[in-house]
Amino acid sequence: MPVYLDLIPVTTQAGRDCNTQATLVPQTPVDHFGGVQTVLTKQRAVVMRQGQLATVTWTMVDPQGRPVDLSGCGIVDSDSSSESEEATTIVLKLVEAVGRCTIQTVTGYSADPTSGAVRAELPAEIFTVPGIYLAEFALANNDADDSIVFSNQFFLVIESGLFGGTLSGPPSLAEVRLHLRDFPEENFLIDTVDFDDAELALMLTRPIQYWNEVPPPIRSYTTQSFPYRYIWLEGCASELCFLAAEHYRRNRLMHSAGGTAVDDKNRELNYQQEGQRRLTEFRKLVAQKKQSLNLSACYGTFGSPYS
Amino acid sequence: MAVSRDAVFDRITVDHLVLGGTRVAWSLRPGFVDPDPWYFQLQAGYAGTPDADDWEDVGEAGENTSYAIDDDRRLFGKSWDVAYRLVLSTPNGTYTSEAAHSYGLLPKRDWLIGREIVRQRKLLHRKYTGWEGWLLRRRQRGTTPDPTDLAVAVTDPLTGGIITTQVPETYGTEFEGGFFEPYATYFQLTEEQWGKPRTELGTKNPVQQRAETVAFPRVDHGDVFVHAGSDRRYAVHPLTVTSQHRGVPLILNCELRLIPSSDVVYQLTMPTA
Repeated sequence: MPVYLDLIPVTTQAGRDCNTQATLVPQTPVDHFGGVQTVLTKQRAVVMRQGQLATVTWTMVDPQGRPVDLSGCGIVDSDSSSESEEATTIVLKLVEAVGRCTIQTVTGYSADPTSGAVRAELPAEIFTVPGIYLAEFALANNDADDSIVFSNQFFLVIESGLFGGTLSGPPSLAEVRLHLRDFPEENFLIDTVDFDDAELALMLTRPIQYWNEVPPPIRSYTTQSFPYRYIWLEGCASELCFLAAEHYRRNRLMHSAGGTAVDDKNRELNYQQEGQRRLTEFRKLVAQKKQSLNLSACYGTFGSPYS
Repeated sequence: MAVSRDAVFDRITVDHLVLGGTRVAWSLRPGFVDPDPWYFQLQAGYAGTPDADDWEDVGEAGENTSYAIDDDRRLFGKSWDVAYRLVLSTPNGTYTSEAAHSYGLLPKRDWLIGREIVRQRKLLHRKYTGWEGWLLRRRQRGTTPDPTDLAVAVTDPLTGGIITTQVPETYGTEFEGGFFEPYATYFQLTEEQWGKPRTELGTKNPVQQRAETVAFPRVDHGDVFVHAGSDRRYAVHPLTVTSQHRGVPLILNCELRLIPSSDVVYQLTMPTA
């Protein structure tokens, strides 16, 4: 009996230039009604790998998500040879998203002021330390104390890698997606990912916030230093399920016609229950870990130099 | 009501008046940032499909406008089939909106509900039960071959009725071209009913199936559905509206009758053929 193999189309699409891989562009969020409409007002995230000497490219937008022409604020093309005194400067500030202690400041530039495009090269203090960072591009006034014209915030996710620093930091976004099997090709009904990069970044900070805020206050962590990855992933997955439940709770519309109903948004309870299951597990593990650390601190031993 | 938003146009509303004075208003997506000037050209048509050749300009293009008024009367019978669309020209390019039908003007909230109902039904058809294919909108207006010239006539010179249905120039209709360009869509068909009734003409094997589709674009009696997987072609027969919202039809049910493979309709070429 002959065996027929399905033909796999050969793609002739050329690979992307390797030089562009170091230019980081945020993912544009899309809706969950087919994944075709962009959600311009949603916070975005830029994702990179630890050790990657990268340039962040960003388009400055207004609160409605529309690009802003920067040329009216004295921003000139970075290639321009004019030596005019600029009234404003493009500044990128970064801080770890949970601890929010040390703010790093980088001066940026604009490749195309009229389209709102700005850029900044990330400093080594940032790209060598994996974690979730809150980043903010601002059009800063040069003649005032740290005042700005306007700014845009986004998440910068530096994923842990084997190059350029310590092995720490959060689970990678790919790891979270793998954990939840969240891929457009496998999400049959929504044709897009269930959770975009910004949502993953935000929910990766939540378990650390919980750890830091729930008593007893034993050891405070950031996304750069939290060491318990299983607990972290479970906490993140739980928060993501609750996030999805919000969408389904808000958008369910029961409708029946011709004897058939399509109730594809009737998933709230599924997500809610799964989130609750993971949350219970997460909280139990956090409590056990804190008890363990507490007892260990209480009944710890001192080593003797004579033993 | 335009079914969904495209990349440029947010929503197009048609406040239809039969005697003329139809007001068409539109808004653009917030992310659309092409440079000025923007020229909006309103177009009206009857097929309502993107590639139909019956779209005609309504007046002059307006610069940076948000509405236009069509002073012409376009409906004369009981078929509410006029549709409007916009062609936006900017220094960066030209963008055409989806068709907005004259079914009725809905407030934003009702429009969103209608859009959600259509989205659900399209999802059902696309992912589970629909037959992928093309809708051929039958021409209801156009040029009729000279009925007095027996070499080309397809209609009776006195009654206007169709006297021959197997002419490849008209494809069984009274108008040249027969049908508009195919529109890719889905129909959800019920199980086939096969019968072999014996008549005075011999044994027939008619295949009739109930079918469901969304009301965008409009589907009318006499249209043809082509099943992409088998090239079977079905004539659309009586339609009923199975779901409507405040007078706007959203989901249609019809009877599809298989057209014999000897019919001239099979000579119409489909996009992938």
